[in-house]
Amino acid sequence: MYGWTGTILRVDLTTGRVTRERLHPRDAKLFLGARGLGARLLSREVSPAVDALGPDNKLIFAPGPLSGTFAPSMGRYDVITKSPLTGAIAASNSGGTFGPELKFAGYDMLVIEGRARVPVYLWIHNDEVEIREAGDIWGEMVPETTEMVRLATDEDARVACIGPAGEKLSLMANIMNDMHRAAGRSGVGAVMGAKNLKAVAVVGTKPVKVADPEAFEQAVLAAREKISKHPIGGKGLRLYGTDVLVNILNEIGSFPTRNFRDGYFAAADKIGGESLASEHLLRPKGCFACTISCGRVTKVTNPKFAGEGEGPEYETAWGFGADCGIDDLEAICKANYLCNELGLDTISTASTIACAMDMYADEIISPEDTGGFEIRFGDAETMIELVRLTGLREGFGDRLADGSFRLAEKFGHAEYSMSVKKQEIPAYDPRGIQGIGLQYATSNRGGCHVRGYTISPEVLGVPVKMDQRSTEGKPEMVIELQNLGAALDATGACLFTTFGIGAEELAALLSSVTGVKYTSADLLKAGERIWNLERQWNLAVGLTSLDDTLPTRLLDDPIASGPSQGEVSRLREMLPAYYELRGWDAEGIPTPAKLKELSLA
Amino acid sequence: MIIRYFAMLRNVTRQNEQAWNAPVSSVRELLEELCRVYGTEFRQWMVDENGNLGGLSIVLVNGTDYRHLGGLDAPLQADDVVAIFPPVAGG
Repeated sequence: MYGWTGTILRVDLTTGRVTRERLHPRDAKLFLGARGLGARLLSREVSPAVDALGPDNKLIFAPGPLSGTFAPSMGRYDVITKSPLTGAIAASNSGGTFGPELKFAGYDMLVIEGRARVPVYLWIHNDEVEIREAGDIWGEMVPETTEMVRLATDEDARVACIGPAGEKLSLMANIMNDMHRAAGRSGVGAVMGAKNLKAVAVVGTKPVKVADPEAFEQAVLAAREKISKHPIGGKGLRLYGTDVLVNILNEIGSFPTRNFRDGYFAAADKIGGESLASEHLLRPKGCFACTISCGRVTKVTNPKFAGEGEGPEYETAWGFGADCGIDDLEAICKANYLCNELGLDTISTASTIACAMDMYADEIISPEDTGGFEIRFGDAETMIELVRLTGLREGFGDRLADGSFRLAEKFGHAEYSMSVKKQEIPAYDPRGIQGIGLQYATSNRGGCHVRGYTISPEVLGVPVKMDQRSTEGKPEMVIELQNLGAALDATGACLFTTFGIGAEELAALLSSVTGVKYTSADLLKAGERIWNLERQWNLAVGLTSLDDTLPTRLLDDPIASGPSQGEVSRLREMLPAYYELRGWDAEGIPTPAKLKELSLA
Repeated sequence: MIIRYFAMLRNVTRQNEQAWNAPVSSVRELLEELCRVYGTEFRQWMVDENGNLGGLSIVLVNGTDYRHLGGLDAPLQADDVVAIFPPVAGG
């Protein structure tokens, strides 16, 4: 095969058995790779009723057919599993160099099964695969783990691992690769921890074969030029990173503040990308074959919050900033570094702490519940201590480690959790931006913005400007972006390539790499197929249309101040049209005709 | 009128915010005037590859995108707050 390696690597940690099997060409053609092929394998092999943290759940690492090639900014991979946070299918996407290295080692997917008796790590060197004991690494933070595994294997090994949060089964634990990149959402790190798997180290030296090198070269040059010439893909993201969104979202009054009590944060500029660039940025950083370089290598020298690492991204600056009522960028950086070291998802962790602050403000919880902490909005030092306790599951951190929904529900007030399907929603207030609310509610992995990034048309005007406060045309737009996003993820492409190229360029790249002819319509159809397959899985788990909703605060309580004052989400107007346009019935169930059309029947 | 600048425009104008007292009646007039005052460095972020003014940037008038207020002809008042962003994004 071209593009695909044609091989799936399977490791059963219960028995220690390592096997290889052929990737079926029809599956590859229909589901592309990464998120798509992972969903295909999970839905075939894992019962939706499985305990997400039990040995019968499977953990799949999957790069895409473009990963490991010179296609610009397309070296990503997904981690697919049943999420312990949501119960839904998880597909957490990450950059860096780990995904391409798996391809170089010869694998389209690494499937982890069972549960090791003692802590182990996996060492993959091309065809050699070894399960090694990891007792001396267990308990270590992500940077130390990465270094220790490299020392024991190969100094050039690409390492994906969990920190203490994953070991302690925090439902917000992520999997970190290349030390600073995160497969962040849905608690995939807890699944790895439950399997007693501390790390996966990979070295590969095989090429990714390209079907039509000449056509591929032309497609790469064309895509690279379009991204480079685009003012956002070519310059804006490198200069300011994603955190530049802080001021934009705040100026339109849709910057969630103090656990979504408001949509405007007066001190936003202090935590935005402009401040980060002028005060803490050491250099921008790109992933494998990336021409965009949105990553931020940063440093804080103030002894109170000293540290060095990567980030914060926009979501993180928002979460530990405005959502917690904090305007101290150094504290935000510190919380970000800690999350990366502990192996915690920054969005869910920050939102869960904001939820605790909100409940504290309303006297639902008191120092008696929090182990003596006064958890007030705006208290940066307490916020940072809570991050640490969460990652280690110590004290009140043990409660926080299971996410905001379980925390708020425990105290009888689930409505304080700003989550969808128990996963925390990110940094765009759906009361002021109507399409993103529909996206949050229908996202197959719960609260998430990148499943259908409506902010591009609704706020940034890319490719065309839509009125963010109107519901008109939003169901169609959300569906198109969800399908495109699923296809992008499945190829291994970064979402930010869409600031420069679209489905047509992606189809040209994919066709020349794989030798399978894809049109842009084929690609969008593959995205729709993946979306419906994920939906089928979630319905089988027991999720229903009642779960396609938003917190009542966002549906009923208007934004309190700022330019979007008085707005609420009009999700209820949009959802029936969304179902109908998707070819689903009124209960959000794909019709037999739709499933047949997508070759899913 | 208050004008707020963001990202690269802060380097070009050497300020985050400025009070604007010269009379301008529309977004078009304001952007043309700013391009004249701050020159090609400012203009490069305001004009897209097809020569369209405002095609690249995000211009908000009191928190609402000018494209939903009548486009370049959107009227401006003396007490408006105008926020101007060059083409930047995140996710």
